[in-house]
Amino acid sequence: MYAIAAHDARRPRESVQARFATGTVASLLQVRKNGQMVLVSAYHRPPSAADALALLLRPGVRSALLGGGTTLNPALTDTQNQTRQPVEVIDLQQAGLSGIRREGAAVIIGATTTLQDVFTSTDVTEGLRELARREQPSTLRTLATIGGTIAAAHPESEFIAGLLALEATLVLLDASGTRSVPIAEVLTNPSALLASVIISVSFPHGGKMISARTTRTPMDRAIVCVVGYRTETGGVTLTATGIAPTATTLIAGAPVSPPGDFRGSSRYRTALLRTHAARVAEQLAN
Amino acid sequence: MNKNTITINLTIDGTPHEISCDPGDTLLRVLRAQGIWSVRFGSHTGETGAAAILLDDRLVSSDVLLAAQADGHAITTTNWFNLNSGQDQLHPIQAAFVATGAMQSGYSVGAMMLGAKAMLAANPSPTEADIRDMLSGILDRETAFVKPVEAVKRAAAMLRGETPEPFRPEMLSLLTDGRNNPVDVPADLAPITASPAVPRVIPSREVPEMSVVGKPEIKVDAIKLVKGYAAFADDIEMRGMLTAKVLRSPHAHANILDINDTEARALPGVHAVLHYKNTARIKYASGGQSWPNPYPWDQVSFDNVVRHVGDRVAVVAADTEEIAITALKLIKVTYEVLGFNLDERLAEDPATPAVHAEGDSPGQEPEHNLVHHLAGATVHDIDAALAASPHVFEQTFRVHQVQQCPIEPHISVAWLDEDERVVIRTSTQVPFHVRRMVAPLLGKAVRDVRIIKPRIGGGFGAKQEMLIEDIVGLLTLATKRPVRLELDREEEFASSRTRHPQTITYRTGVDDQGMLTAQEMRIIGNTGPYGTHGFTVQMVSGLRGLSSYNAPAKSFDCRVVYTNIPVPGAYRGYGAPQAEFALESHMEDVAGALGLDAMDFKRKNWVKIGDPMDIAPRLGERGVVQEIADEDLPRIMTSGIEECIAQGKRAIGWHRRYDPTWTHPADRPNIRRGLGFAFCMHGTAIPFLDMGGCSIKINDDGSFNVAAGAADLGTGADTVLAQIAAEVLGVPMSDIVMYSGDTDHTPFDVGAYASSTTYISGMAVKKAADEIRWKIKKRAAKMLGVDQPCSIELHDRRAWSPDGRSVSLEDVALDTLHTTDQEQLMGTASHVSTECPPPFAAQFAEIEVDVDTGQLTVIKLVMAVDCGVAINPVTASGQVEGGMIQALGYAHCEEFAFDDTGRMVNAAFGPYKIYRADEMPEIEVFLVQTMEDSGPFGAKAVAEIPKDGVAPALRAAIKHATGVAINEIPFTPERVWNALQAH
Repeated sequence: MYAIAAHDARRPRESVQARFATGTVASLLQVRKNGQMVLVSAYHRPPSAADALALLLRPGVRSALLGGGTTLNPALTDTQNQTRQPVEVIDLQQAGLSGIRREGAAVIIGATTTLQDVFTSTDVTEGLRELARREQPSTLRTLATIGGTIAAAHPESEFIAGLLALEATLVLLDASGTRSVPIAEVLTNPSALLASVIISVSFPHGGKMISARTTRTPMDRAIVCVVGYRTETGGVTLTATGIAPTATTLIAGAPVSPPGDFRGSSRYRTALLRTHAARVAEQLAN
Repeated sequence: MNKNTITINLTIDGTPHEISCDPGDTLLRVLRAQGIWSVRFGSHTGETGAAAILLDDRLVSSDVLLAAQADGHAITTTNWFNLNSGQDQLHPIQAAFVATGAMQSGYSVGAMMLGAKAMLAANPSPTEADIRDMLSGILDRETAFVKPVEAVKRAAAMLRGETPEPFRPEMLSLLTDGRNNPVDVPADLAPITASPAVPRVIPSREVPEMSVVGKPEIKVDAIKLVKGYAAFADDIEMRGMLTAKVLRSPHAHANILDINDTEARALPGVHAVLHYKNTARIKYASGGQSWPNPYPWDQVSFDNVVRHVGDRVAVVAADTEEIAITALKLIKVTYEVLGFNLDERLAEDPATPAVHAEGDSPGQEPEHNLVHHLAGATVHDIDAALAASPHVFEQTFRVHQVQQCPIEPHISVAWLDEDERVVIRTSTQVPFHVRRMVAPLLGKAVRDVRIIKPRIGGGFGAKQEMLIEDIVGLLTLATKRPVRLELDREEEFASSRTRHPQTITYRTGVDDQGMLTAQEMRIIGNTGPYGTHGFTVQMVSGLRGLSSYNAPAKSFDCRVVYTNIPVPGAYRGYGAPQAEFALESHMEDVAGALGLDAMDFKRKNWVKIGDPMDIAPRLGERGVVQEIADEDLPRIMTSGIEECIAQGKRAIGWHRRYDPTWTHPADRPNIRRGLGFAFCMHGTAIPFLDMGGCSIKINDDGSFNVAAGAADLGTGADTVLAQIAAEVLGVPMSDIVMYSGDTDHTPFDVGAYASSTTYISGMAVKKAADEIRWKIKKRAAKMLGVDQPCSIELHDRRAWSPDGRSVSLEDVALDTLHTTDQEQLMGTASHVSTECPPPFAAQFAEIEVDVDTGQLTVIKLVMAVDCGVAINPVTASGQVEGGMIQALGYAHCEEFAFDDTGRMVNAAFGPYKIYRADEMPEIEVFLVQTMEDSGPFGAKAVAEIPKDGVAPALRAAIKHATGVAINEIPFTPERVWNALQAH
């Protein structure tokens, strides 16, 4: 039996919105989760991450970082019953943050690398490539960036579950310089991204990644998905979607209480978690 | 509104453009403002792919891209193909899509072609998986991607310099004797190796050879579609056009105590605000049906009661969409929130609030939410027959709410013409009904309204409705300006139309020989808050639910009730998918309970050639006939069901059903495999009611204008009608100029519904063509000096005398128009049928169930359908492919889900799951010919029957695989898991 990791997976969404009101910097996450129709008052395309950060940190200016736009732009242009608050968009396409490279035992992916490029990269573990493919269909995968996907943090993102299983590290640039943050920390506390630019995502090269899931149709977002990663040295990490408001790392022994919805009740999700965790563990062991 | 206009530089199809736009403008909006109509709206969240273009050779959705993001980049649109193909030639990718019939409405065909271009540039020899992945971001509700995948394969071959074989049907031999006797299908029959996109046609010896009919002619609208021309309702720009936005109810049920629009009206750029306080209260029924519309007439344009989340409250017309949205927020509405109910089973409970306080229908009990109660449409004494039956079975089924989901949402543009008539260019299936129904709401005579139906991006019944035409009409009258209203995707889900949920109970008596003695069907139909189509859909459920099997006694009882769900209406199949799920499942289980093979039991009892259709006259749209003499009953005249079954069994590998090593794969212990079958029977048009008209005239060059009232909603109706005319007139398709769906310029037609267009409108075209043909023969006889005009034959664009001399039709035309006894040769005809010949089909399904998780995976669907003579086997097979996948969504994954306030929680593609290209099961379609004498060139209907069999075939396959029988759809993982747990 597996349980979610130590952080509070049932963190209410309201807390994100509440934080939003206090700052002048609006992260992509906040714009999306706040769900408000926002008027784009200016568009910037800074030539570097440092310039992007400088734009982001301007006092009194509400601004948002833009990766591919697949999540943010619908929020900006949503025509449904929303209020109008102007926001300045900071597009990272020329900030030099794109590309995939090997550094020793690590794979380093620039924040504005598209999911399509992750999917087709031979440097990336095959299991994660497949999760990148599943994350978005063809017309959006070519736009959506790895950084934007992390910032948007779709609650059921199997790709993020994959990064979590890899214990990926984010390099963030903020006012105090660059720092490395485990992805788990960002998922637990999205405000860690609030006044910073994601520079890159890194994780180990090699190893073996397996995922198992239950979906309504083959390419649907999973009701519950379990991702397992075994490092070259044999360490195993299991993560899951669909059992908490974000992807979570599984810890043997503790109970879970997944929130249910029309696709799967809490009881059903609990059963799926048990089945898929066992399947993934078995496949990783073979 | 926004003063921060920016300038961007885009290279569009090779030409640099400097464009001013708002920093928040999407690329979609900017491109359409440039007149690039081939980039189309499907939603504003990018998942439909209708707006996909190439950005630096990457396929991207332009509806989620800010135009500013594209600054400095190269954009490729559909027009690139036009610029990069030879004079009067298509680019190979365009040519491949045209040749394979890889489009129905063609709304997203440009996006598919661009995806193909980008993929083939990088990978000249893609696998099928590559192609399907490329198409994964482009949703298509029509083709099931069978033919688009084939088109991309052909395009790849052509671009590699190969010359693919012509795309034409695979003609197969009969497996039966052609006399409808069952046969055993050997397990070792050779499989069919042709691509699944190729229609398999099983010819009938009774069908004569023809030149145009029965041939895979290309769609008459294919060229404009692959060229991305301005063909759809929204592809028009008019000076001073206003944008309308609708304020919608956040409550499932509430009284509106007051509306204050002062602030909204004061907003600069707002030109009109309409709501219940300033709009005439004229009762109507919105379903697009023949006059007089069936009761209840329970809608008004703007009411002071809202009855579902998403119901109309008010509408604004403003200079821009942004102003209109801002104005909506300034309208102050005071609601008195009322109790609500979503469940038809609770609608008549005394504690359930009444959805309508006032009665609108004879016999209606508004305080009990009972719109209609049809009791006792019976054949003989059902109670006596059941009492005398040795075996009686009763079973209840529940079917849910789903949506048609055309990728083009509802869109209407209205303006006043120079005679101050109201012109409405609208995405509708029923232009003539809309004209008649909208006129009184606008205070206009019918003659002062013109409805134009251009190409439309799918309808499937959602557009058999007068849904938003009154809004744009009222606004254009209020403002004297052109007004455009397009629903966004969430509005489409919440406020357009859906399939009726039902609770269906069967009671069936069987004798000791396995013959039915009695069959009773009871339905509670959920019509939501408005009765549009509520009566007639449930009537069709009764008709379909009690027509497939012979039983000496039959009875239908139906209660149509009001609830507060988003409004059900017409959806392809129209009550039949609900009924046939319940009926086929019930018959399967009765057979099981009696220890009989389900197919044998059904075969013993299903209707065969010569059998009467006894319930049909009792369930007409115009009411119930209780007494009818047996000799007056309509009868089955054609059925190819046994050939359908034989072909289907071969294609699905039916013999594996009895092989335990296949059903229980040793290497996958959690998997069970199953095969299922369903018998399908549908109708063809509504007898004595559906009418189509056509007029044909000859032109100077011997070509013909065919004006038909019929509404092609992407189905290929215009193509089929042109083929019928060409066959009669002895000319190629290129000599037929089709025009349809314009109330000013074509004869009347009821519109596209009830599987009627080929059969009814097609017969009108045939009759009109016969008439002008006779006139041509008379004129040609005179020109050739032949005494007997009836001896003249028309073929190869000429009129031929028996001795082999001929005149060209051009010469005939010039003679009649300019030289001798001048007259315009014309043919005009209309058609109503007294018959409703049923198409039959065998639906097969192969599935896997993960018994640990309940996940159902659909491996393959096969439908073999007897649609009479397929006028065009490519478009006909396309109808079956797309229809089956819509039916698969109904059975497997699509559903409306609500929160505890009655709001739909999954009003977006993704959460509302429709199948996409990279997850489709295998699909195989067989067209089994029969010669239906009442139809044009032997045709029966084909478009709706593929909606009928997938749900019961999946249920039967799940039962075969696991032993579990599930009486509710969709077969979502948890539902199957729960059933497995209880088993």
